[in-house]
Amino acid sequence: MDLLKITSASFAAIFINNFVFSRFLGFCPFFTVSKKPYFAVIPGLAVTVLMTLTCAVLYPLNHYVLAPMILEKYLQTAVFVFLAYLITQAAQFAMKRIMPYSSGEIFSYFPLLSSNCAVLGAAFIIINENYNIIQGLVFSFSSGIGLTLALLMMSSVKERIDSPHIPAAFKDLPISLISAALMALSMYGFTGIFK
Amino acid sequence: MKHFVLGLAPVLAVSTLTINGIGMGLIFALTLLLSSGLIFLIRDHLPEIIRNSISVIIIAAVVTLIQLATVHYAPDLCASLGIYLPIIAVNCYIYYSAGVYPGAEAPLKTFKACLYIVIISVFAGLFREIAGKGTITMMIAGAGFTYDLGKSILKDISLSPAVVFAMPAGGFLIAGLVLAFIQHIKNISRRNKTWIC
Amino acid sequence: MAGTEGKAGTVVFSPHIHNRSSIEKIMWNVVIALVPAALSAYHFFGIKSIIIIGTSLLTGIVTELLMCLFARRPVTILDGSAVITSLLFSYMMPTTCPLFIVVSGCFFAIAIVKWAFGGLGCNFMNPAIGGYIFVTAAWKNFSTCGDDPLSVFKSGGWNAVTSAHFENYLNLFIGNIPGTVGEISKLAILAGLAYLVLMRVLLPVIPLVFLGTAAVFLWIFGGIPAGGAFFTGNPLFQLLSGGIALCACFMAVDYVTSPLTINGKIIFAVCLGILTSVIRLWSDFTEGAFYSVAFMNIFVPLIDRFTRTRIFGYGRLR
Repeated sequence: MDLLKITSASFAAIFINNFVFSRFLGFCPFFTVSKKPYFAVIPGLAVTVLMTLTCAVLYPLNHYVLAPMILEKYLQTAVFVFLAYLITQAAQFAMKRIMPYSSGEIFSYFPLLSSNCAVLGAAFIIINENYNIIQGLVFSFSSGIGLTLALLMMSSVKERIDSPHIPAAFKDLPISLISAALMALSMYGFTGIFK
Repeated sequence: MKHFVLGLAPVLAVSTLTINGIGMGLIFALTLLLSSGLIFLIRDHLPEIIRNSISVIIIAAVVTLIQLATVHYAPDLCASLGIYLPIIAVNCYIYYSAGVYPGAEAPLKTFKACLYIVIISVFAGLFREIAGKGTITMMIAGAGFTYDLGKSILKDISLSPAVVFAMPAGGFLIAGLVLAFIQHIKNISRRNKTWIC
Repeated sequence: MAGTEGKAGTVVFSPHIHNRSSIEKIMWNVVIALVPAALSAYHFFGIKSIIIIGTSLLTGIVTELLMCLFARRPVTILDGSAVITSLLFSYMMPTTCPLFIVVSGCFFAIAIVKWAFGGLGCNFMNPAIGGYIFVTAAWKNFSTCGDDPLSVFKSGGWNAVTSAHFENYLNLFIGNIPGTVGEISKLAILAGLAYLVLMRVLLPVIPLVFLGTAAVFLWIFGGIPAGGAFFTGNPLFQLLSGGIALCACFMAVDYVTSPLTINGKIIFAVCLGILTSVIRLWSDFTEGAFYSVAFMNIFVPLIDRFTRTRIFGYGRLR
């Protein structure tokens, strides 16, 4: 539980093994991100909270309920998928109750959030890599921050991508994918910094 | 269209080897077919509120069944697919909420989607491996072959493979270029149609 | 950077408002500023470097021609931007680089990093840097130099540098060292920068702040990877070796992909300096300057948004 190790592992999850650029998880809100940085960061932070919450719920569930049962490998996938879906729906419901008068832009992201791969992917990675609860929470939180960073990068570039000069064949989705490729290539330069 | 491409994320993620791409595509298509069939049978009998939740349960159950079958018959494929096999459940749910699943109309839409998925995954795996490593790997459950293009076709080593295509950045790049090509063809056909009208 | 002084303050013009002929003048001035580096490459490396530069130029011009024809726009191979991209890209390649790598990298840089985004002025990443990160990810062994002073220092420490006789600062400055085609001669690069400043093409804000921040950071933290203490780095050696001089003077200052205002440029250059030092000291890569420019290019529109000049007469709604 070394503090330096935890910090280094969390920075590695943000920059090197970034959820969007290295693991292809969670880029559903990536392509409809807003140009304004504030509205781009909000879905990212929401996903961060969701990921940490899901990890906090699913890890003890897996450890104390499923593992002692003989049916663990049969039930794991189904239980995780369904519970991640329930938690996301509950969060959406809670947001609508807490902030009913908020701007509509925030709420347009929620249907995509509910089908987000990142939340489930974080849970499965934690189980596969055999992290303990502290490592798991730190990993899911920093992966969420990495996702927010990716959303910030995309919203920053969005001004240039919405230009009318882009060829018609590349408009909308292909050019976003190519900019994601360039961003992934540029983050390749950070390999080896955080071991 | 956008939701269709976003749902193909696991295909892009694992298609660094040809057999991974083919396997993922077939598994995805099978999951989509089975779960869409079951949901099509059930959805008219359910009240509005729990329709989504029951769909999620059905999708999760189908994915679990297929995952267990894969672990039993092809354990090395399951190991290389890793966490992206359960992620198929989420992607099927994306397709469900985007309307790829059949409703009152014929199930032809789902068949078309499955066909596209298999074709795209085969080509993604093939291209990424040839460009990224120079080999074609078709080994499943210990049987099959690995065809090394570098040794058989290009006898000299003056051209070495571009490793970037086996990396995630290469996956994004290929996806972007292929989509641009498809959009170009669509634009041309749309333009030609308006001329004819 | 054009601007006017008036009673109300200074107005800075966006480069996109310049008319065609002044864009061409700026571009060809930059090409002239890049010629000393090519001459020094020929002096130290011989005909091999000219072959690489020539291949890159040919690929660049042909690609630009093809892209103009595809996009049905007026042919712009004579406006100098393709020449600049090809020259800069070839300056980042070692002399032992196979030609197919140079061709694919240059093609990627112009066709995809520049033209897929809409042509001149619409890309967010410097095309030469885009080509470089593609080529080093694809063919890492062929496109990086293993025996230049920076790699020797990174793998062996100062002892390895002295045993390979790289510690002579005059040699490092003039360019009598192994390295990539364009980065070896800091004298040629500084001559080019001085020419650009004299012809009023650019203010040297970004190069000075970039190199200054990197020098300070490398002085403070330079000795740590080798197990030393703080403040034991060797900033002069670090600045004179590797591609940081080439990057700071020609790639970070590209009009299209750097911030518009002076404050933005300072923030940009400080972040570049810090990132370059971090990558140089602790990463697996030897040269961090190009990757840090690639990374910061992504944030340039964000920096622009936060450092916008206030329009006179407008204020916040109270």
